[in-house]
Parts: sequence; C-alpha cells; structure tokens
Amino acid sequence: MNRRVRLVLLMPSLAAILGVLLWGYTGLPNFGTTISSYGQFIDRVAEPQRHVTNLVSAVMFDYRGIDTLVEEFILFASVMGVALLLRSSREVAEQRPRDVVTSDAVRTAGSALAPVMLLFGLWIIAFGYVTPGGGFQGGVAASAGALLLWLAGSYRTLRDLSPTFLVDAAEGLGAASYIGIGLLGLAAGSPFLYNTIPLGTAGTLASGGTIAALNWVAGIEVAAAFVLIYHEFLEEYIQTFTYTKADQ
Amino acid sequence: MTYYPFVVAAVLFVAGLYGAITSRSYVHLAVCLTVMQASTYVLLLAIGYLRGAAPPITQGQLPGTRLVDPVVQALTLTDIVVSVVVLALILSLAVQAHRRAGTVDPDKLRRIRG
Amino acid sequence: MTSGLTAVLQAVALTLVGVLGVGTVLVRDPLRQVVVNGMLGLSLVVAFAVLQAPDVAIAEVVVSAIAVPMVLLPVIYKTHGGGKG
Repeated sequence: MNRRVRLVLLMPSLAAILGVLLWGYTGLPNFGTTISSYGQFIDRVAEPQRHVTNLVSAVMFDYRGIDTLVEEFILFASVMGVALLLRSSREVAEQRPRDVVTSDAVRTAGSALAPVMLLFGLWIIAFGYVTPGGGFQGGVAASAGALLLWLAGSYRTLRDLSPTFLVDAAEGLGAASYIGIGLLGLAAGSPFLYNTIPLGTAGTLASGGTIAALNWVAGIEVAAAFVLIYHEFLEEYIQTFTYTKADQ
Repeated sequence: MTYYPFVVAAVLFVAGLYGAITSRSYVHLAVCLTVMQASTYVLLLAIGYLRGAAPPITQGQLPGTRLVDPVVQALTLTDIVVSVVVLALILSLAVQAHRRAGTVDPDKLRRIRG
Repeated sequence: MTSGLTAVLQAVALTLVGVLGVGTVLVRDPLRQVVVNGMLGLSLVVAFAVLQAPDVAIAEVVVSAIAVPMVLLPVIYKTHGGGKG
C-alpha cells in the first residue's frame, strides 16, 4: 500500500491511541496530591537505615540494586553490539586521517577544558550519594573530557590518549565488579547485593557502605562505555573524511 | 493543572509515534523514538510529584519535611543514560544498512531482497 | 504565593516540552532535527528541575548536550552524503 493510503489509515488509529491514553491517565490521582506508599516509606526510613542523604542513589544502588545491574548489562551488551556492527565491515583506511585543528583558540580552550571536564565528572560521581549526582551522570560527564581531547587535537590524539585495551578493560572491570560486590553479600551470609560493608555517618563521603562502591563502579563503567561509543562513531566520521581528502 | 502533565505526556507519545511511522529516514526515526521516551519520563516524574514537597535529598534539610518520590526518579535516571546507548545501537544498524544498500529510507529498504 | 509561582513555572516548562517535542517530529531533515532535539533536551531539564528532580535533570543535561549529538552527527554525515557537495 502506498504512502497516501497508509496516512489515511494512520490518523484514526493515532486519535484512538490518544483517546485511550488520555482516558487512562485521568484515572491516576490528581497531579501533586499523593505519592506511592513505597516512596513514602523510603523517604522515611532510607537515611536512618542506610546513612545516605541522596535517597535516589540509595534506591538505585541498594533498594533496587538488581534493576541497576540489569540496566548496566543492557549498556554493556549495546556497546558490544555497536562495536560488532561497526567494526565488522569497515573498509581499511589507506591514508592517515588529517583532521588536525588549525585554530589556536579551539586547541587552547579544548586542552584546558578536557581535564576540567574529567575532574568535574569524577566529582559528580564521588559526591553522588551525598548531594544530587551519581555514577551514571558523572560517567557521561567524564566521557566528555575524552571528547574534548578530540575537539582540541586530532583523532590520533584521542586514540593515543585513551587506548582501546584500557577502556575495554575498564568497562569489563566495572561490570564484573558490580557482580563482585553483590557476591560479597552472599559471602557474608546475606542476600545478593545486600549492604554488608560498615555504614558510616550520613552526609559525609564515608557513608552508605556498598552504595558508595557501586556508585564508583557504575561511574567507571558508564564512562568507559561512552568513550568506546565515541571511538566507534568518530571512526565512521574520520573514514568518510579520509576518502574525500584522498580523492583530491 | 491537575491533568496537564499527563496531557503533555500523551501528546508527546502520539507525536513520536506519528513521526516514527511516517518517517523517511532511519535517523529521523531514531530521534522520534527519543521523543516517545521523553513522554515516559514526563509521565513518571509527574506521578511521583507532591505539591509543596522538596527534592529527595536530605542533606541540609529539616527532618520531617515532605519529599517527592525517589523510586520513579531512580527509574527515569538509569533509563535516560541507557537510552542513549540503545540509540547508538539503532544508529549503527542504520550505518550498516547504508553500507549494504546505499540508502536509509525505510520505504526503499523494504524492497531489497537477499 | 510561591505555590502559584511554581505551578506557573511547571505549566510553562511542560508547554515548552510539548511544543518542542511536536516540533522535533515535524522537522524532516535530520541535521535540523538535531538542533531541535537539543532544545527539547534543554526544556526537559527545566521541566525536571521544576518537578523537584535534580538527579534526573543532571542526567538529562549531560546526555542531551554531550552524548546524543555526538552519536547522531557522524551518522548523519555518513548516511546523508556529507562532505561530497
């Protein structure tokens, strides 16, 4: 069936979907009147029980730690899929890529900001269970530091300063350490991913027990995964660039 | 204001769905999927909101203040980061299709066999 | 008074999210769509912040400003005939 017929058939179905969605959503409690009882319970007991002040991190790495483990594995498998797909049939570049930056302003600003961005990402990870932040956000922010290296220099600078084997190892280590910390709970006679390290005082960096450890492990894995993704996609861009430059 | 976030979430969902169905490029389709995901984020956070409450951070707050729901925020948070990686996977499929067939138009790709 | 101001802020942020979401879908050229998607991400950050969710806002700002354009732009360059015109 051609496009016109498809569009004519589409509009009533979309209107029906919109109607069903709106009818379902109006059955929810009014906006802002009440939250779920699980949420109320966690708001009340999370700080005395786990000694952390960021309740979202407590939920993510302790109360629902198994969900975060599954999400990390989705991340891991997707990065593996991206690497497999993009490396499999890539043509070999015949000439070294020549994407050197000629603007001094870009080079200076980029090289000054790359370590700042990395430090900022590490700070967001480190204080993730005390103030807003966390492993996932800080990991993406730290990977931006690697990206600024490419902006400031050439693609070769990026590959030299973030070698693939190191980034691969960091990602695998992050995913394995999450399970390792979970197995610590099993070794201590408690359920998997139970908080068995001594909890500290809430509001300081030494608090939370396994929440702090899982926070760091997740941050390292997310940062490494994103740097791998940037490598693959930048290689696509540089390939295109190489061929057009070689044609001249 | 009692139902406004839910209406926005429904409109975003249907708009993303329309864009995904009538798209002429796989890259455009991937971004429309991102719009559909944004609708779920708005819906989740609107469900977990409490009027007059504070963010779920107890650092520097008086004990006993009402806080919003942290569970839906944890769900939304991991979802945002993982959705980017899945977007990368979808886009690498588009690159692979371009290598094999020379186009990323879904209509033209359907007719290529073998 | 403050609760009225918060409600107005939430209504404005959510309206902006809705308008930009529909706008992202209606833009057909992927390169222009990246720009509108970036604006959608920014409006989502404001909406999340006003809905008292700072962690989610930080995640959305790093993702929509750094990761999404970085993943989209090389693919658009490669598949929509970049550099040869």
